[in-house]
Amino acid sequence: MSDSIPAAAAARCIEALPDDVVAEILARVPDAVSLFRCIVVCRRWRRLVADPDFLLRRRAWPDGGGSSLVGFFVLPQKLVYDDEGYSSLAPTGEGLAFVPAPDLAGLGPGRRRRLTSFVRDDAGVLDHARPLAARDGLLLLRLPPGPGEKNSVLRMCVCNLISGRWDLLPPLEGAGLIEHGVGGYAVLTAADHGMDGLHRPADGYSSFFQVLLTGVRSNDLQVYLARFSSDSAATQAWYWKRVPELSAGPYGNRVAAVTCGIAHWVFIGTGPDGNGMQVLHVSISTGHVCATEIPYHVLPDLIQPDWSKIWLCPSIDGLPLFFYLDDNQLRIWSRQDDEDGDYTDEVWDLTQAIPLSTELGLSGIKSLSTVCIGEKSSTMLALNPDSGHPYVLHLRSRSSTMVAGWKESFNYVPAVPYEMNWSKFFMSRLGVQQ
Amino acid sequence: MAAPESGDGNNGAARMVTLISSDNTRFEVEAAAASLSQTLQLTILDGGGGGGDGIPLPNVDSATLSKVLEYCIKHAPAAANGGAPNATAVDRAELERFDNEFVNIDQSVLYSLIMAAHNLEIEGLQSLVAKKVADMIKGKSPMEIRRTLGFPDPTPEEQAEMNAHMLEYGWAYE
Repeated sequence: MSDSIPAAAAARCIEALPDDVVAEILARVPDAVSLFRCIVVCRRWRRLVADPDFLLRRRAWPDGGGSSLVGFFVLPQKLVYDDEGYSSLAPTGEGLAFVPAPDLAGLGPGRRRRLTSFVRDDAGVLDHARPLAARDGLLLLRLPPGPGEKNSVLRMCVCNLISGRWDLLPPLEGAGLIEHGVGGYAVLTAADHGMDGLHRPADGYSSFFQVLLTGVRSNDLQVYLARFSSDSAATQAWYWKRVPELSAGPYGNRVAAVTCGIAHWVFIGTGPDGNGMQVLHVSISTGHVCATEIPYHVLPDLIQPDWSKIWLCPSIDGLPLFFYLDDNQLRIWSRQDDEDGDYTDEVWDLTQAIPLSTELGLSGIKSLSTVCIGEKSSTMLALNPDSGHPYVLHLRSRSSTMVAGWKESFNYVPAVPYEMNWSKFFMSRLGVQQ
Repeated sequence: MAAPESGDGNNGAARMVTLISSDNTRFEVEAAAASLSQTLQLTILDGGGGGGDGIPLPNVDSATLSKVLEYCIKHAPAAANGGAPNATAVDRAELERFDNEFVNIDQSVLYSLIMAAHNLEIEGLQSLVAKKVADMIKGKSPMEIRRTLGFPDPTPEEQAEMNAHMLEYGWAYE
């Protein structure tokens, strides 16, 4: 036994405990919110938490560290009827809401927050923003048009909840690209660009990001991709590109599925076999686009699919998967390695068929539909339209949890899943250099 | 190299060691239980603690040591099985029940225990007490944490820091 141990055997209060013992206690604080409060309990606690070793090694992080599902951004909407009885969706006026995921190690279930609880917005610019996409701490929002501005002008901003800062994007004349809610979106981080050098934000931007938008433009009914990067090496202007051979979409996920430097969406296109499912691939670093036809018959066991139920999601090892949630079952197909390495012979296998009742513990619910997918946390938000109850399906642990704090007015819009790495969040907010 | 102590000792009789607390109380305990302490295990493997010698523990008083040994005696059989792979669900549930009850004690005793567990390197005990204190922190405001854990009243500077944090990070306080 070491002789250097002080005679603290009779420690009567926590202040008398040595640093490493207090660090052991803090490492076991069960949820991120409580730990975040600990940093102002006293100077010593702040110093102990702000240690990068402590933050990286802590085992009590949600999902054991890495990116975890923190919650969902939703814009409450309701159906409104005009004089002739036609219905349309309109925001309820409550503004953007954040519904925490039912994760006891994160924010904890139940209590909704406002976006301004995470980022400062004294001027109220973000009050009626519409969530479009999120990835790794970044959140892409569409802002309402300015006074006298045409509805087709897309004003967007990217919020970085890890740093608490946000950047406005140059306005884009969208020509109907997304205003009817049919667009595809992606917000991408430096990590999504792979190993091709350092990315720095240009002057006037707080973080590096890239934004992709895709959909059918209303003036010529063609599919386009619009691309913007805050990279100091780029010109900070929107780039447009027409995507040939696609005619409608995206279907399923609005937010791109991202695998190994490529963003994917499902479209319908005109292939050699007539109209069929096409997957649009966009290279994140070059902006190069191509589409792959997926004939129905290559997805075994899928007869007369409902387009809106086909979702793309990357697997843990970065390969694209198809998800189809229908009739009490979640089916997952994965592409088998193609021997000649080209996309000509698609071979897909039905790799998993997960019954909702036995494996996901949702017996009796047959009509669940997918709302969104948390790529990094392998989760799916699914809604039961009959009861209005949403569930988070955890695909790794094969479990499900009902989401608390959900309102009926959320059901009219796709929710955007927000995933974040909590240790990065603490490092950013505590100013920790790694 | 000699085979490590099996904990059963020789000829069926368990090997006993003597531990001496800071206030000179002698505790006779099975070597297997005392060996939950990484620190003591080395001494015991060297043949120490037997006979009339005893191992002095100048940093642990008798009240704390008797509590520490209560934990070690309860956990020794499972530890001898190399964790609990062979343990039945009933055994595990019983240990869990014991653990929950065991840390249901006065805060000052918790701190003495965690110090002793730290000094004697009894990982399971240290982690059990750390978890207990961490659960007392859960869900409380910084001020409530300070009060619960017996901090003195905050300085105006500390108070201002807590208020500013609450204003800046609304999500963590809603």
